[in-house]
This record gives sequence, C-alpha cells and structure tokens, in this order.
Amino acid sequence: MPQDGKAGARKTADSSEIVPPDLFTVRIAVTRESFESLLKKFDLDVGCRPHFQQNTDGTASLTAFATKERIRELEGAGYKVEVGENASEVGRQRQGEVGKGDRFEGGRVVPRGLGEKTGERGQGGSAE
Amino acid sequence: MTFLNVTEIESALTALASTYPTVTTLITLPFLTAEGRQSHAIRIGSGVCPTNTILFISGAHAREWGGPDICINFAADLLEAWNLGTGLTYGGTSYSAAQIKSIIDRLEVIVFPDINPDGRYYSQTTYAMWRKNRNPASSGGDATKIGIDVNRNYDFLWDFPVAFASAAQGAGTLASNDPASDLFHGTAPFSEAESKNVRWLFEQFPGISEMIDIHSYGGDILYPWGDDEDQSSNTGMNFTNSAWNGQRGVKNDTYGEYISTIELSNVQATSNAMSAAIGAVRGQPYAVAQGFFIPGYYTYPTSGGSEDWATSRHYVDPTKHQCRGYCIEFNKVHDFFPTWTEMEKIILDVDAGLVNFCLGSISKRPYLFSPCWWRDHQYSIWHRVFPPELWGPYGPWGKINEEVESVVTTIEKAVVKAIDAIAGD
Repeated sequence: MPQDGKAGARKTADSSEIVPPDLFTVRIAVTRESFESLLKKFDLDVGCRPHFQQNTDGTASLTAFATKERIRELEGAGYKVEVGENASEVGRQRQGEVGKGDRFEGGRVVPRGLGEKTGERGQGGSAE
Repeated sequence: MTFLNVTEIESALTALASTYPTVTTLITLPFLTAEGRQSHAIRIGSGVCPTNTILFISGAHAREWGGPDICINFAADLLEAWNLGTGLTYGGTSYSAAQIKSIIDRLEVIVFPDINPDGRYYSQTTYAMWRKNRNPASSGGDATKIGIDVNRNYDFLWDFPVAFASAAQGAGTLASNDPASDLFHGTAPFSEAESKNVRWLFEQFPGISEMIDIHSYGGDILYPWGDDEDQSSNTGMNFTNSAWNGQRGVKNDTYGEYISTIELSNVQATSNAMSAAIGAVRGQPYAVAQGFFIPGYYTYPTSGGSEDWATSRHYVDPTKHQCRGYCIEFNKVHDFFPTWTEMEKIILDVDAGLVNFCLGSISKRPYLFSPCWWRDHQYSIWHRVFPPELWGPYGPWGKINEEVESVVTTIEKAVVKAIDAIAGD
C-alpha cells in the first residue's frame, strides 16, 4: 500500500507551493490482531507513536490521520472508521496562534516562564 | 501569548544568555539546516559544583509544536527563579528556592529547544501536519518526497532491514527507505544537520548523563529500549551483536535488549518520579512505559531514535560517559495542535516534570566524596590557562578529567562500601 497523503496534493493559496492533501483524524476499531495487520496493509500516519482508547466491546480505537482517499480504502477493507475533525484545518487555524514577528526583539526582551515564582525572595544569584 | 515561532525561539535563547551571563552560555550549533538556518542551545549552570550534565532536546518532529515552548519556558523559569532567589510553583507541584539554586549550582543543564527549525517553520506557515525536516536531497525534485524523519536518523540500529526481524519490519513502525514516507530515515546515520547537531553536543559535553527528547502526543514518559523488550540476564544479547541481526523487534521471542537490573531500576524510578511531579500539577500523571511498548496494548519497535542512541553510546564505547535517554510525549489529548490556552497548562505539567528530573540528576554523594571537589580546584587553574570561551567547557583536558573522575569514583565507592561494612558489623 503506498504512502498516504500523496494523491490529491494541492497548491497553497498563493499557488507558490505544492502541499499534501488534508488529513482527517480517524479512529479505527481494532483488536490486537487486526492492529498488526492494519499497519502491515496500510502505511498509516499514527502520530509520533500509536495511541488507543479502549472500547466497551473489547476492541480499541486507534487514532490515526488519513486522507479522504485512504479513509475510503480502509472502509473498503472492512475496517470500522470513525472520521473526526480535519486535522489539517485545525492546524491551519492554530497557525493563527503562532507568534508574529519577534516578541523578544532579537534578544533584547527576556522571556518569562509560566511557572509561579514563589516563596520568600531570598538572596538570589548574581546575573550580572 | 501564542506559540513561539522559529525566530522567537532563537531570540529567546539570546535574551536568556545575555540577561543571565554568569550562569549561561549561548551555544552555536555548527551544522546549518537544509534551508540555511543556524540553531542554538543554552547551557545553564553556575559551575560551582556540577555533578552531572543533562540535555533536553525538542522539535524533532515539526508538527509537535509545543516542545520548544516547553523548553524555553523551563529555561526562563529556572533562571528567573534563581535570580530572584525564589522557588517555583506549577499548580500543585512546588520547588523551594534552595532546590532551584541546587540545580543551578550542581548541574550543567543544556537546552536545545528546536532541533528542526526548517520543519517547524514549514508547519507553522504552510502545511501544519508536516513531520520531517525539509531536506530535499532525496526527493528527486518531487515535493511530496522532501524531508527526513530526524528521529529515525540516529545511529542506533539505523540499518533496520538488517537489524530487525521481518515480522517487525512489516509492521511499518521502524523506519522507511522510501523518501515519501513520514518515517524516511535518510541516506545514512547522521546524514542530517539536525541529528548531527545533537551528536555534536554530546561530543562537546562528554559528561552528559541524562537526556530527554520531548515529543507529542499521548501523555507518556518512555525509557529505553525502543527496539525490543528489555532483558537483564544476557549481556551478549544486545544491539551491538550482529549474531542477533534479523531477530529484533518482536515481543515474546528469544531476543531482548540488554539493560542491567540497576539501570532498569534507575530509569523506571526516574520516570515514575517525573510522572508523579507532572500528576501533582493538575491531577494528570503521565503513563510510564518502556519505549518498545504501547501502554496496555501493543508494541512499537523503532530504529534510529535519539533516546536509544543516547543510551547506546556507552554500550558501544565504554570509555564514553553512561547516559540514560528518555522521551516525553506531552499532551494526553490525541492532538498535535492544542489551543494556546491548553498548551499553557501542558507547559506547567511538563516543566514541573523537568525540574523534578533535574533534582533527581543531582548526585546525592557528599561533597567531600564528590569528584567535583577535585574538579573545582582543577578548573580554577585550568580555566585561567585555557579560557573556556576559546577551548570549550572542558578544554583539551576533558578526557584526562574524565579518567581522573573515574578513578576517584572507584575509590569513593570502595570507601562507601567499607563504611557500610563497618556500620553493618
């Protein structure tokens, strides 16, 4: 089975670059045995490493990312596939939550961590 | 607040180094990425009495956005709290000012937050789901074949068709020879600037004893090994032994990867302690597992991964410092792109774990038994003769120093054993 995500490649909005097609989050019901054969048959994008959610019927749902074309192939092979959100679209939306410019001004503004600085302010280190 | 972009990660490192110059060094990594970017890391530590060197890396997989943000926040927290003389609190997990000071004084912490800036830039500006780097060398001009999976490019069983059983190869988790695959492992071990830079850090800081590679998602803390089940009974059954080629990567068969009982106990204890610290933040501890296993379900053999390579160096060459490699998969939700609001909570979780990890890495040996007493005096003289800004942190004497430490450590162990024996009597 060929690598998913190559058929249906499209150009970016400004037509400057070809990018792979959108990937959808899918949950595929598997048993231990069918999981092994699933990965052998389909070159699935399972994230950094596979993760499952246990189902009440003894199966588990594998989270993966697949194109519409690959989803059709999975369903055609008899797998029960629950199609979730368009992961690529979520990523595009989150690109709006990426910093614009440089909030640290090339190193002139120091970042502050999110941890709370607590306790008595004692004799701190000498930063200078 | 928002996710850090590539420029901001570099600027943040520069700012931290210039704001806290007495306890930091900005490290310029020598290998430029395919798109010409130069990466930086930061070394944190006062050098008062460093007992261990530890390394945090992140950003190998481009779409796993939060990793570099976790690292920058961690470094900023540590330095600011040290400077103010305060402790640090992450939700329900707190560390005292004395603990923070002990990290700065007794550890050398190296943070390399974004090892794959080309991939991150592409993911954050063009195709969010991108995983690999952006090296086009193997693409043959086909845009869909650009990139190498950096975390399959390290020199640990990199030649997976030879090293692993055919059954493990069929599962499609190890790596791939196909440039179109998200698991493409490159043309040779360390063919990529990103992995070369990590290796360079190990060469420059030969005392690195612990490393964490931060990925997402899942909410896991993974310890070695990733190629097969751990076993502690047969030292000859290990990744260096070619007699076992073609047999690795399958559960419940003959082959298992050797790790000593003590080492296994150590990595499990460290992982569990991190998980507890993470869990105390907001009640969501991470699952602890050997890298080879998917908790509670199946196996996921891998080749060419960073944590296995870091751990393997000492096994390949016993003169190299022993290092324990770990992987954190942050975010318990199966999602590469949490909202920034959720990401802030994840940062608190993981940074609480990283501080705990640092504290656990500080040697418990009494100062008088510690090689650093000897080293302090040695360095004060040598650093005048061989300025570290010219010769690096260990100068030409790194090797000699390591040998001397080894002898001192042996003597120390004998003394402790003798004291224990006397006390036992």
